[in-house]
Amino acid sequence: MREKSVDQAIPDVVDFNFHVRPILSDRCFKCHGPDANKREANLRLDTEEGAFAALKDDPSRHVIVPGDPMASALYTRIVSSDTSEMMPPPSSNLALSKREIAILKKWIQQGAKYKKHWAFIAPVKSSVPDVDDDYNPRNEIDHFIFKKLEEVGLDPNEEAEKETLLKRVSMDITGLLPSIEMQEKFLSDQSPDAYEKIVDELLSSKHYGEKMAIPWMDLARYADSHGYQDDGYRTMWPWRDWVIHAFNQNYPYSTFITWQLAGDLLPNPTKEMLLATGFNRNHKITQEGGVIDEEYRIEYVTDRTNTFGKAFMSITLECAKCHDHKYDPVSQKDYYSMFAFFNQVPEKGLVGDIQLASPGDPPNMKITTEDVKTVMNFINKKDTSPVVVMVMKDSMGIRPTQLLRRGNYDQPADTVDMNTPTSILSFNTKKFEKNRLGLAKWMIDPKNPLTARVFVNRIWNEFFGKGLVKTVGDFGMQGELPSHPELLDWMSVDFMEKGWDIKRLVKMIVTSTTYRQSTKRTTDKLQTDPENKYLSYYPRLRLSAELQRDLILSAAGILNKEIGGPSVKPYQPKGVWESTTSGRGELAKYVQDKGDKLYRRGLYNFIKRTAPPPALLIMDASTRDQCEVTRSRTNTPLQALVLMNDPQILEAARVLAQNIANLQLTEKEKLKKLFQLILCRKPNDSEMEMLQQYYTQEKNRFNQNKIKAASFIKAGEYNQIKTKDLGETAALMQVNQLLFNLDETTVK
Amino acid sequence: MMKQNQLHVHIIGSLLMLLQALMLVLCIVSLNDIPWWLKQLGHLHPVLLHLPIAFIFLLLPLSFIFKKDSDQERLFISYFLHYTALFATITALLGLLSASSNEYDPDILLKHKWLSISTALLSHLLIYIFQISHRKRSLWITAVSTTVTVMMVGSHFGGSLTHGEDYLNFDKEEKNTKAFMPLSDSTLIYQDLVQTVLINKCIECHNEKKMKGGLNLNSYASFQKGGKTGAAFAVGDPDQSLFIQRALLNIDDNKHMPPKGKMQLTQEELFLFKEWTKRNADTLLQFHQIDLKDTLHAILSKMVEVKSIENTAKVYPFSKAVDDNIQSLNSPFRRIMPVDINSPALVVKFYLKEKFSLQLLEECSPIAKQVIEINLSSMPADDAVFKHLSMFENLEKLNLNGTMISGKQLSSLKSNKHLSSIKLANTAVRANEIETLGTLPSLQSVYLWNSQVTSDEITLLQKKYSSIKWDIGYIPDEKELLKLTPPSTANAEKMILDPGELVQLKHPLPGAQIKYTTDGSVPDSSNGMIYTKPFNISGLTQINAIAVSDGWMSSNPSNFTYFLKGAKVDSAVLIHRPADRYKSNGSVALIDFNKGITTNLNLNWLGFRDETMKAGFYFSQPAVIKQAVLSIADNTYSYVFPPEKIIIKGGSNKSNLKVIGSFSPIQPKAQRNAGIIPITVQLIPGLYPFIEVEAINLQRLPPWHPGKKEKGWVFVDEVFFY
Amino acid sequence: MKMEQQEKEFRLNVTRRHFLTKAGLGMGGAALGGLLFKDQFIGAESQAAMQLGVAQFAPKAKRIIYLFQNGAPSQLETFDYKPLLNKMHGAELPASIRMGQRLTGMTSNQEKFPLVGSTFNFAQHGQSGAWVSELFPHMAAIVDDLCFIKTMHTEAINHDPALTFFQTGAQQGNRPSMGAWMSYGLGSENSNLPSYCVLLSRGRGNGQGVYSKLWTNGFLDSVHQGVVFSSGEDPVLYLNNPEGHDKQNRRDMLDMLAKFNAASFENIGDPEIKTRIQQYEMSYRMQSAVPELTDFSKESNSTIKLYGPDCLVPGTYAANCLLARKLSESGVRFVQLYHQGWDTHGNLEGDMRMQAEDVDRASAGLIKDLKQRGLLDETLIIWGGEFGRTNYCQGALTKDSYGRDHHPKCFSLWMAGGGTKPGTVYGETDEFGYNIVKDPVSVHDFHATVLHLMGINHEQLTYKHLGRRYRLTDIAGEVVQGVIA
Repeated sequence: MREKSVDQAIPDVVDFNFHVRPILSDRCFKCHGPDANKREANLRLDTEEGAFAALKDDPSRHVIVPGDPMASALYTRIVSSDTSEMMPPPSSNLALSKREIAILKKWIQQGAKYKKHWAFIAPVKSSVPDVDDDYNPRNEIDHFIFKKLEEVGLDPNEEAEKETLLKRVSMDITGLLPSIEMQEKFLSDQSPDAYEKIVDELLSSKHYGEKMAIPWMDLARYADSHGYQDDGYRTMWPWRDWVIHAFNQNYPYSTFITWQLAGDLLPNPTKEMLLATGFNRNHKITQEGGVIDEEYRIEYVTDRTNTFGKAFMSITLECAKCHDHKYDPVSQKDYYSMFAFFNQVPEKGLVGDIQLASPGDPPNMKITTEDVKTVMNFINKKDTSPVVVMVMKDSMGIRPTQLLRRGNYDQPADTVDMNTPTSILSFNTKKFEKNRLGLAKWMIDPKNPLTARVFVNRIWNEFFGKGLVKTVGDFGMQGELPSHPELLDWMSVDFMEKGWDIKRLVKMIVTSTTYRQSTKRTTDKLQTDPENKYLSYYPRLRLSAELQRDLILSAAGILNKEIGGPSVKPYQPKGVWESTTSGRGELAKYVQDKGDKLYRRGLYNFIKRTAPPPALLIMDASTRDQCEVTRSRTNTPLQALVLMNDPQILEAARVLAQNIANLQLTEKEKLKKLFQLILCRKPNDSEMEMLQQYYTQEKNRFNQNKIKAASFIKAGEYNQIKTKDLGETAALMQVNQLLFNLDETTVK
Repeated sequence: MMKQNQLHVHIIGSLLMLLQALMLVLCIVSLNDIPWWLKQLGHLHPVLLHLPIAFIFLLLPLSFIFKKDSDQERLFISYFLHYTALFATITALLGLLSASSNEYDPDILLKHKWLSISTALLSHLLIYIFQISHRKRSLWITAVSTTVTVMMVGSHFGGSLTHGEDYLNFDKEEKNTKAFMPLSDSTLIYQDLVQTVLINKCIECHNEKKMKGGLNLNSYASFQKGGKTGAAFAVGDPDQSLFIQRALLNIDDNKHMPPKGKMQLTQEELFLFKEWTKRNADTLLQFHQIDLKDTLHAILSKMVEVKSIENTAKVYPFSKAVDDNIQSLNSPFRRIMPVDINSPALVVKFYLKEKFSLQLLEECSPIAKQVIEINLSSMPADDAVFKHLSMFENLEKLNLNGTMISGKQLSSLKSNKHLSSIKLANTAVRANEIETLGTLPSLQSVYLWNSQVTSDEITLLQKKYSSIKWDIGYIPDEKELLKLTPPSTANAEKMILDPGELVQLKHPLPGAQIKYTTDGSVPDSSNGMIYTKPFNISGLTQINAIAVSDGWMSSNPSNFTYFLKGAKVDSAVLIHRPADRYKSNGSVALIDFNKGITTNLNLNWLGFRDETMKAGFYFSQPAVIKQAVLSIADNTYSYVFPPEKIIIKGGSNKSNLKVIGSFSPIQPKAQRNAGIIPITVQLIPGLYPFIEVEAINLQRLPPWHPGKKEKGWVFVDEVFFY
Repeated sequence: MKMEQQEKEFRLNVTRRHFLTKAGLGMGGAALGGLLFKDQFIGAESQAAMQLGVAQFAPKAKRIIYLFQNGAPSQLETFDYKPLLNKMHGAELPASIRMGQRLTGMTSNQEKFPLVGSTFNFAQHGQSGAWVSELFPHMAAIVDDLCFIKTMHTEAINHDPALTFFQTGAQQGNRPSMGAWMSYGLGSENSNLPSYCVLLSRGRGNGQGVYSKLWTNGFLDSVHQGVVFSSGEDPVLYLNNPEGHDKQNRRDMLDMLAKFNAASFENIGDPEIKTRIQQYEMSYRMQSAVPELTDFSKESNSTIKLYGPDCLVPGTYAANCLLARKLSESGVRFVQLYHQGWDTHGNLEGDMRMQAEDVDRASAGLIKDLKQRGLLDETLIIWGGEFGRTNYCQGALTKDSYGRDHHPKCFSLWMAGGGTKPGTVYGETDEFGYNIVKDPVSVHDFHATVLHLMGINHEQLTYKHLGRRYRLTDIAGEVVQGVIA
């Protein structure tokens, strides 16, 4: 099976970046890589000089002799059978496969050409390949994708059913189900641009910002509590409201990140720019009495630095905190030179322990009702008292930054200057000032090889469930290689050329033929391309935790579509907070909200870091402990329990049942309507049959036991709606539960 | 002197009779139930056997040494013969004892057994022959020489058993199993792995010397050439490869290879053969050419590990079960796990009561040989379970804790001769039933906690079978009285009841009794009401309750304060502002019936320090008010004290008020645990549209307090009017 | 082709076995497809240096119950007897002993460091003659079943990082917790229960909170996340069917659900759908497996006395010990208890008394209970906190009260059963109870040892995440042979 899969062939032209470095990086760099301290035999294979050098113990021989494998120690050692000679050494638990050895050999034969790591070379637009028009390519994406499919001998799928497609694109852009009206409009609209019209409508919806904000919250490790064990309340939610606003206003990505990184340093910054810098204060803050102040201050700066690396550059910077990076050209010095940018904040490791904890340690800004009325009307402030939000600020005069031995705050070494890794893009002090603003400009400099790629890839990941670079958080040498390098580069350059226009990027993706494929998969496709790397069908993806909730509430018609504001506390099992807390602080006890606050979107769920909302966590949501750029997608029995027994979902089923029960419709029509509301398509005959069978069975059961029926439909605090027939209502509610739990319901 | 010798000879003679009788018995009855210590004796067999051999060889020469018919001759030879027979018999006996272990080739064993027994019998016979034969030497010599031959052949088979069949073909070098070389990228799949397996498990019968079935595995060429039935393997096609087909045959099929009784191929070795053949039986194939993700890669690394750590791991006399059997038997209700990745031994566990049936156990027969541990704890298994247990010949641990067995069938565990631990806690087994376990050869521990066995009975058993640990576990000391936990209420956090709502008390210990008071006094044996059912309260009620039960110390009192919702307040106003950090949801907090908790003063509490607590309450249709109750927090550690004084004014409206009541609570004398205290203020009864409540916080903390002279806090979360 | 087929199947078995045990999921044709595909096609990132789901060598311990004493019990009032401190009571801690060890913010500005001796008496017990303070009569009675380590030391001096370090092998960052590694490496024995359960209780002493990071799956699959058992009506979150809904409703719903899902599998062919069907079946089984264990109403009198009467009160330490035994007995690999209240900065005497009262009888009871069921030899029990406490007084030393600050350089814990050497006292601290003089045991060593007892080589239990292969023991750890039987 594997043998058959397309990635096993040995390429005619061996490319260093795509074929050789992954091998060297994973199997050799640990001891022969960038990390000077761990380097064995003073031999490094990550640079040309190192690789072509003469052997230390035998100057007559060389590690690599271009064109001559047998003369190259590298080759002879990896094929050696002598355990003392053999590389990698058996003790390392690392071994080279037949294919890998063949590749290295061929590479040496072909002259052992070194190249800079692909991700560190600025992207350039390559020419768009032609493809068969029968595939009906709609834009450049399709050209690149179909070209590759052609190469691996696969055909793309046909376009998905209109209903399916509508649900998919609607969930993807707004995170909400298409309204029945929208469904009918789209289904009846036969015009060629029907789909495009829908896309535009969705993109202009104010819920687009919410949908886009969800992954950004994970990335920015946003939460409503400070984290660490005495986990006090914080009010960063106005920053969250800003993110939603920024997406809806379609701020260029360049602006979006510049403000978040350095809004405070822009010439006479607006309050909005200041608010945006909250991004770098979302990290955890301790309130444990008796901690060592400096230890934690360093921890915060570290978090910012690592987050910067992971979120904007997809480089695992943190690996260089304690020692030179083992795989990527980032030295420990580089790390602390970056660190220096974020080391200028006038902050303390511990401002006050939990007893006198504040919702926002300095530096911070107060947002008054006045502000909300005027300059920041996107903030959904509920009462008249001002809100405190933590923001960034650089102290007067520069705080010198020292390299920390083994990353320990109490082992400072040489002082370092603000700088960026030259291997990525050198920090030209003529162009960039030496502060976060300079860093931001460096980020969005057209020559920066990473920024655009990383973002485009992340957006792609949102819509296709997997990035063009699979390791969304690691573009380094240990990361996966792009499945479609030309496409990624083309899109990245195009993205920059078109002014970092995010909505445009999204539209391009969702209007592509590639995106519009059906999810059907044949065994042939499964075998040739097991991971669906080449997108010969649309990957079927389970909705994220928040969206599952939103979907169910909106299908039931009880979703509260209000945008922004303080996070809410919906139903939550007893004791989740109480059993973990030290008993101190106002978050010791979970006080569930009432009324329409119970029906807000998942995005607004109050997140207490030390005890995140269980229902979301079980559905693989992030703990917001640190920057996360992807979520795992698991499939567990606990998830089944949530979907079956969460009062929130039972309530939705109940309210929907009661409303439907009161409609003047036949039983059949009612069931049909429920199905359509929840799955956004009409049931086929056999489905209809099963539904009716189930409904009748449940109805009889409940009719025999009205007491049970009565207690069943008690679910939730949403006001009860009178219905004629108790048994019918309970049965309908049961049907809703069934439909909510269908696999199809919670996937797009 | 003659007499003595006669006697001596007679003793040996009768001993001989006895032993030979025993010997004959032993070789007929099955050997399963010999006690282990006897088995140990068996190990002397190889030592002793040299004596009879030597003696019997000596017989012929001896019979020529002496002067014919001399007394010395008769005397000496009869002595000599007796001892010869004796040693031959004893040796045979010991042989029989050690023969039970199944590590030997059965048919060779059989031959050796009977021939050696005959040797013993013959040597006995010789005594009589000698007595009647001294006139006819020919007869004597034939007899002796037959004995010698029988003995020699017999002992040859014996030798083959221990030293391998052909240890007398002097031309062949010692045979011993070859270990795998540690895997390296250059490991040659054929030469280093396939060959090694062949050498260890096949070559013994398929070498150039003895090419059974015409097959010689010593060289690749001859291997490929194969034997009578054709080529040993088909390049690239395991299915058509004879040596794989044969290995796949049923073990009882006489075409199966290696033959029954010989070391079998493991799953991994078989897979290696398949894979190697499939990869064109390539002699040059190297380990590094196998992809990391390839199953073969995993399997090989596994195999070679086996070899390297074998010496440390326990070795079992059986090979691995077929993986697919294990897989097909595995289910959520029956879990089968190897002891570790390399061990052939298996552990079987059963889960989920309602899914259990004996059939689940029965179905394990395909892996019965490999099972060394069975865990049935708390499964509804009854005595019927025992008839299925006998098939697990290598069973070492058996867990029957909490099953429904009676113990009557325990005797049937006899056949599980390797059973070392049996768990019978939480079962109905009795002493007389478990006694039979004492005779199990390998048993070391028996667990009997909470069974029908008493500690006295245990002591007896322990005496009788001292090599076994009889564990009866923890028996509570009757004299030790433990304190019960205090009673609790149905929903502790709810402190405010609607009129008519009932108070419910409970205690987790079955049969415990709850005594309670509502007058503030502490209940005890003499004081307090016995709680029978939920009860009604009128107004503020403080309940003290204890739990009592025979054999237990009565609990500490628990106390619950219940407020009853009083006269309806329409709205409240805060005349003084609470401290910023403790303003909750403002005036509403006082009448929203949400209680605060002592551990979190941020929630539902209004806290006052700089100003006194002062609030007003509006009644639209006033009822007669007789008393006011303030619910206040008491937490001396955080400077929270009862108010110095409470002054309550009433009247038609704000501006027209008169004092209608006041009260000064008693102040704490020392630090004390946090709590919520209701303070009742009696009022001049009357209809008051507006009531103003002022609680003056302590202006100077008492001298014993760390913060002496500072102001105290006052915290209020609710105010009630009755 | 035929061979291809067989070949494939064989690999299926291997991977199947691998995955099933790995994730501890149910078997049965349906799931396999799903699990298998997931495993084969997405598993690449998670290459471990060992085969998952089964011990690498015969394990001494099959299950673990970790009685974590959250807040750090003082070694000087429990098991590490230091008469010298009583002799020198009130004298200043010699600088030669302190050697500039860093202090927490709570005592760093303290100008005097008066030594304090334990106010509790010590005595030797059992064959082993181990010292135990009068606070723990029941533990004292079973010292010959215990294996004390007196020379634990850690890097952190504050609760959050120290706890996190103990549970995940790193002070910061979202690494998988010990139990998650265990579940990832060995899978579960009983697929009807989570393989990693967490039980929480709070004592009456000064408390320090816990947080979900302590039982996180980190970057591992979330099936390995610790499942918190609550004392509320839902022992496992969302376990109970809604009101008016019984087993039959549920059964029928699941059957109908399976029909629908099977249908969509037919026309889409996404293996995840099959997995999903299987997960619903598993949740159904969990619904009957769990309540059986959390029902204490049928406990015998002797059990109640063994653990103490409060074992009947859900959410108490004693109740959790009892529940832990039941879970462990039913095949839960790793049961993690946390008991708050040991943070004795002040009022040490009073707090220690209350804490000891709550844990002594139940902890010893758990050991006895496992022993009498013949389960102690295969169950590893661990009792201890995140660091030790200073030998000098925090705050003013008065005659009737003292306190101790955090001390990372030495502290005690004990293990029992699971192949540890019974009746052992391992390691030695100096007579001031401040530094280690013999056989130090780091937290990494501790992890390595525990993994070893479970039949895992700590260097081979790895997971590749964002370009790096991670281990519970990070880059350190030596198995402590001295505590292994």
